[in-house]
Parts: sequence; structure tokens; C-alpha cells
Amino acid sequence: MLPRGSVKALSDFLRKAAQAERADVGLERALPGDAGRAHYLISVEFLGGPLTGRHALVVRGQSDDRGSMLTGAEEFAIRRVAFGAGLTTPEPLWLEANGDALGWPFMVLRHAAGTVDAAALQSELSMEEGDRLAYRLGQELARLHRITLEKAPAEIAFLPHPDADWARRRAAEWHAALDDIGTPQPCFEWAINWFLDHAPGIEGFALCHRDLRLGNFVADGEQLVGILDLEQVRWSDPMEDLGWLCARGARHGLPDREAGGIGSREALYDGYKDVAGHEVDDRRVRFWEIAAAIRQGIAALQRAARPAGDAEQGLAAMLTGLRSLEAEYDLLLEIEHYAAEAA
Amino acid sequence: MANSPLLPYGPAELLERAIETLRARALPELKETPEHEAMLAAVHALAIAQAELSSDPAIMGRELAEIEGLLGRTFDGDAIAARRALADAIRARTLPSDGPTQVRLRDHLLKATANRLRLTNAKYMTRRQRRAESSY
Repeated sequence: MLPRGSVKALSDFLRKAAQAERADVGLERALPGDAGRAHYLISVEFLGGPLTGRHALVVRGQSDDRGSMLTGAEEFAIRRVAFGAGLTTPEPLWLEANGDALGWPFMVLRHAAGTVDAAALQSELSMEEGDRLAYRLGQELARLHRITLEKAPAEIAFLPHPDADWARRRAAEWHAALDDIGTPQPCFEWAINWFLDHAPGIEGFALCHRDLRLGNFVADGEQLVGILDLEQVRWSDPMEDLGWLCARGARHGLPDREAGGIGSREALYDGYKDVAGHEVDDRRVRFWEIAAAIRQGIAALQRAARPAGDAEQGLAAMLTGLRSLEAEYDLLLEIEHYAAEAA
Repeated sequence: MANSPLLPYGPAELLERAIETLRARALPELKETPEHEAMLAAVHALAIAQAELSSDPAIMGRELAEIEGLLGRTFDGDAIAARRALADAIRARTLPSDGPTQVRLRDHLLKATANRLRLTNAKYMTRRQRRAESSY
């Protein structure tokens, strides 16, 4: 937990940021998050200023994993843009990018209360409730996709701009990852070739979450409370987000709930259409489901190849690496299915 | 030389008993505790090891022969080198692009993946409601 001196420094920071006369900070608990990231739920009582009153806030540090992640300032800018566009996501309030207050950079967000636990949500939701939640997720993705590369906000100009060569770049990243892993992976090599041979031309790039799935949003029953984990946000084909959510590996043991193990594919598509104003391109979503299996499988192998802190973490990493076989199996069946549908 | 074990019980049988014991005694006791997930992972790992020890030892040899058939060269029994050469050939697209070769390649990949997935998570294949691929 935060040491006492840090609580005082945090209070000072919050008081100034909120233009308050006083900010009394209470630490509620550490929140689950990715490795190496400080992540705390705090309760703050502001006296004076526009935020007078009690607020549940989240102090979110920067991840130790600098692999493909954004800097804290970049992530904060993306959150501001997405929140401003109407995405249901915890409001980003302040950024302390220099580490002056606590010795490490952090941002402060409003807290989204509910559950992120995949198993709890799946066991709680009936099919009808799951469909309503899937519909909401479809609406949210369409809302995010209204932010297009064509009219890219200046605040997120740092995001790499895709071009006609986007598929080759993606394949090159996967090849480099496989080379780093070191063990031969003929199935993923074969699937990457398929990806290159079938990548569609993308007419309109949009801001995509690229990691929306169970565990990365907060819900209270069927009510969507907030979309989390915007570190993977990039310009891409909007259908990638739908494919990522519908991929087999995202269904957490409920394969018949094709929209992320939550609800039906139809409900997700309907919600998307409701906001986007046009039909979902199902064929393209299926392409991205296959791409998702490549991405998930290689990510599992990367996790297994990273040094582990202790025996327990090492075992968890090994088992995660073996799960790449499920992605391989999905790829082999789904690519055949994709071809059969085209015939 | 006969390949007879030193002990009266083989490693697969010992592992099977250990897994049964942990499932019956340790896992229920640890339910709702922070240790449950770690114990579950440990039991899963033992089950994978047990499945591998009980698997057909000739599988790797048959996989190797199939890769040698696809690539048209031998690897002197080195299955890892063969898989690496296959991965390289796929990336470089040096395998013939004719239909029959591509079908043989896809069949090989499916069997090789299924052989491994059967050890780590056989239920995954069952859940896909797909007839299990015939083993080598």
C-alpha cells in the first residue's frame, strides 16, 4: 500500500488539481491490475472548489511492461479523447506525468463500481441479460469508432498512422515476436501467411480499443458501468474490435455466447448498428477473429518466454504458454471454415 | 537392453495417484482461499505431465516422418530441427503451392496440434463439438 508520506503528497496533489481548500484521502484498497502497475482505489473528501464532496477515485500508475504499451501521458490523452466522444469509461481527471508528487507518474480517474470478474459475470447473467450487455458493448464500440483517422484529434497525433501496408507491418511484428520466442511455431507461421493473403483493404481507419473482452470492462449485472484498459488503443479496422470480442479465445468457456462469452453475436451486431447506422460486415469480423487467435496465441507464447519471478509465476506462465495450442486449434478449424463459407 | 523400471510403480502411475489425492483432499480444503488457484495450476501441470508420460512414444517419430515427406529431406531423428525447418519453409513460402501439398501441410499441422492439445486440454477439442482428429 501507499506509505503514509505518499498519502500526504497525494492529498496535496489532489487539493491543487481539484482547486479545493482541502482534500482528505482515505485508501480503500489496492485494485487488481497488470504486473508492476500501482493501482489504488481511494476515497477523497474535497472541501471547497468545484468537486466539493466525497468521491471514489482511482490512482493508476504506469506499467513496468514497456513492451508495446503507451506512456502514461499518451494513455491519458487517449482516455480524454474516448471519454469526450461519449465512451462509457471512467472519467480521466488528472495526470501527474513527472513523478514529482509520489516519485512515480500516475493518473487519477473516477472509479467505476461493479464487477470485472469474468466467471462471476458469466454465471450471473442469463442469456437475455447477456444479450442486453452484448448489445451495450456493440453500442460502445460504435461510439469509439466515430473517432476516425480522417478527423484525428490533435491530442492523439502520437498514435502511428496506418497505411496500405498495415497487414505486412502487423505480420512483421508477429514474425519478430516468434523469432524472440525461439521455439519453432509452424502453425502460427502458416496462419500469418493466411492473414497476409486475406487481409482486406481498409477504407476507413478508426480508433479501436483492441482489447475489449471479459475482464476489461466493469458491469453491474447487465448494466455496463465502464470500459477499461485502453492501453492497446490504436488506429485500425473497426471490425477488428468486434472480431477480437467474438474470437473463441475470448469466450471463457461459454463458446455458444459468441459475443465474448457474454451474449449472442446478433445482439452485439444490433447494438453496433444502432449507433453506427450501418450493418456490421460479418465476413470481415470473421477475418479478425482469426487474426485474434494469432495475436492471442503469440501473446501466450511471449508470456511463457518471459522470466518468471518465482515458481508459482513460472508455472502460471508455462500453463499460459500451453494455451497457445488452443489458439492453434482454433486457427486450423476457423481458417478451414472461412474458406468453406467463401466456396 | 530391456527398458524395465527400477521401482515397482511407474512415474505415470505415481503421478495419477498424486493427482487423485490432491483433487480429493487439497483442492476442496483450499476452496475460497488465495492458495486455491496456485494448487489448481499445480494439479493441472501434474495432469499434463502424466498425460505426456502415458502418450504413445511413437508420435514424434511419425510427425518427423511426415515433415521429412513434406520437405523432401531427412533430419536424423531431430524432431525440433525438423519443426524449425518446416516453420522456416512456411515463412519463406518455399513449399510447393499446389493443392495436394497444401492439404498435406494443413493435415500435418492439425494432427500435430491435436496431439499436443490432447495432452494439455483434451476437453477443448470436445467442446468444439468436432470429431477428434485421428492420431498418427
